[in-house]
Amino acid sequence: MSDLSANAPKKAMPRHRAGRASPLWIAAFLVPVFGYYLTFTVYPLAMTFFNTLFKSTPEGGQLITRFVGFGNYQRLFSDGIFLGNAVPNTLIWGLVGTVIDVVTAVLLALLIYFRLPLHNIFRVLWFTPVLLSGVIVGVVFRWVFNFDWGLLNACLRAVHLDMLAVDWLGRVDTPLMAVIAVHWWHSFGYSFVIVLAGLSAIPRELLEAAYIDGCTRRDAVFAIILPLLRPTLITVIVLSFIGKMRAFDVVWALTRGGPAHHSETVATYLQKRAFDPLLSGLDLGYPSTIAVVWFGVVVAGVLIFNYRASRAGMT
Amino acid sequence: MRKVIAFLAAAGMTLAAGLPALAQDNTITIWSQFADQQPNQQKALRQIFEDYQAAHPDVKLNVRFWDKAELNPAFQAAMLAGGKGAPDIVYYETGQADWIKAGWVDNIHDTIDTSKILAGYDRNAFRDYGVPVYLLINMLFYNPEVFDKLGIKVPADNMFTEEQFDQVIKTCHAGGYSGLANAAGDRPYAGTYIPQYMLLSQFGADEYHAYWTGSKSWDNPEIRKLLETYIGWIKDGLYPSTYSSMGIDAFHLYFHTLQKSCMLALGNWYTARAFKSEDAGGQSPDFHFSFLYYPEMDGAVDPKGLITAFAGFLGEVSTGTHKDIVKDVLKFMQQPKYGAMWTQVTASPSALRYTPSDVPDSLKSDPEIAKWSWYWDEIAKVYADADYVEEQLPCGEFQDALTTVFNDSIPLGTMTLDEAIANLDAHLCPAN
Repeated sequence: MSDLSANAPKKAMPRHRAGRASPLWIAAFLVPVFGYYLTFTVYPLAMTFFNTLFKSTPEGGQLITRFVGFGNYQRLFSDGIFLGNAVPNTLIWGLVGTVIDVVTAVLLALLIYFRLPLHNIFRVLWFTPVLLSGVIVGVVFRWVFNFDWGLLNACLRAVHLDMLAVDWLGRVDTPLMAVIAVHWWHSFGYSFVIVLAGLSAIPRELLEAAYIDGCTRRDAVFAIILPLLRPTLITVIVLSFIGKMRAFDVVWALTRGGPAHHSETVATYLQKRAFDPLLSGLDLGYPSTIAVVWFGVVVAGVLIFNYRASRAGMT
Repeated sequence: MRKVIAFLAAAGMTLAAGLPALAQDNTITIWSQFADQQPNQQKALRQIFEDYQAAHPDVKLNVRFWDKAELNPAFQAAMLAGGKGAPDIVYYETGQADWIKAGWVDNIHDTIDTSKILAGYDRNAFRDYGVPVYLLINMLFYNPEVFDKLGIKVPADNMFTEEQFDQVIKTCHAGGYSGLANAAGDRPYAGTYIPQYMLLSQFGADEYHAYWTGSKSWDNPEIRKLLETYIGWIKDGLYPSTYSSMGIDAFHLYFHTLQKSCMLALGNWYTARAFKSEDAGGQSPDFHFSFLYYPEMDGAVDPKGLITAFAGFLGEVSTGTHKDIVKDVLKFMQQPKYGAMWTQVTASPSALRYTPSDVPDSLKSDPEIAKWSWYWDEIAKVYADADYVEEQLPCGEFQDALTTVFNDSIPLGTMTLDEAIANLDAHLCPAN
């Protein structure tokens, strides 16, 4: 008969039953994941950094690598297209696009939160564009913006606004706006669902108490909801900014960075430098340099933003 | 008994070792341009490959047709990955000279019989590296109906002076037409035809080559005057208002179906996208355009120059297998009957030598081919005394500068003349 009293000697538990898995089991689960991470993330990243110090071109069937030190960096910082078009366009898009994204997401999420009529349908509709491939979106909007038979100009002409029916993708002042608009349409749903999730975490009792105290809905938004939503908004801003810094598919399908580099972004320019038969020279070093420099810019931007946000007590 | 078993085992192992050789896969993979928008070119190449397979039942030719913009990066990526997934035969153009330097395309000197190829191939930079597919000629098409409607009279020698050409552009523009249908939405060369021919006409072949291959500075008064003329033509309405966004398929339609332009400056490969079913974006066989020489510049040295090139090559990929079969396929393609067939089916001249007797009987009375016979009559009538000038290509960086200046910036008005010249001079090719 077993002794269940507190003084009974305790049986020694096997290690795995004491809450610590055996090293073999730990390794069995971690090794594949780490292996995948090292192979497909760390190694390519390390090689990209490494390649920036070399000019690697295939010659005579061999990949000839010549050490150029910081030569690729020097070349990049005197590259007119990179500094004059790709960087400014991407930064403008990153800043303007992020603001438009976040403001739209907050407004629409609030409408859902406050139970706009048919809110369940709108919740799905507003998220649907995110499900589409960026390439498809770019191709479709290429036709929407077509000067002769595009939907946009057709609508403008139908309401006698012919002077506004321009070649949206063919001028020098409008293609970047078109890219920002199309990408916003494609991606705001992603920010919207994150903000909506953040709103859902706000206790309803807070608002009810505020209403009882005579708070209007407008005051509730600015005094209660938005302050409580700050951590979520920080996340959305960072994700939206990063997304625009690296977005490629929509721009490529819509304008390929043209005309004459006026909608060129860092991502499209990197693509051209890596793979365009005229520009690449089959060299991997220079496009790697573009990737590394831009990686640094994005990381620095995010760190600065997070630092300033934490200093302002927003996180 | 043991000896029998041992013998059978040895025999079995020997047989098994030999089986992979017996079961060797003689599949050759071919990557070619001429995606579905160019059905006639596909048809002609497929015929050649089907004939080869019929003659060699043990060989399978696996052909994939690509859009040009996708083929080049795909091949590049495959070769940079060490040839994994790369084809055995690849189609490439003069813009892919880097592939030869990279060692991706083999020297197949012994496979190419230059006696079967049109004159001049023995001087060509690609003569040892690929079988040329067709001959490119850059021409100036015009719409006679629009000219008639606008009261534009074509000179007897089919060549306007530079002042007359400017007047033609202005007349077209006033009539609601663009001078040319050319647009640079998805091609890097649409805006380079006119300045190229202005140089050739003004300076002659040698000087033209020196400028266009990036061997000579552009900063001189003659070039400035020429470029000012070109900029003036653009301001007068040379290009359509949708120049920067209209793609290649659209500007073909712009010329032959919508008929919104007076002229079109393009290579003879126009027929690839135009001489097909109207449902597929082709033109009506009843739309009979004609040709002009490019405008004669004041004091022209070579007003009747027509730039031509061996365009498109099929070459042996260095990482491919079955190179003996690849060479055999490439030799097979060089038969005169395939030159005749290519010309008839695609309405673009083959690079191979052939005589009328090489034209297959089935094609002589083919109504699909006969309906385009007026096209060849017009070429023969207009370009009978043309001076054919072989194209030479610049280094990659200068070619990109030409695209930036002439295809993008000058037509858009985003670059001044001084900036354009400075850009070109900044990217001159290094002297060899």
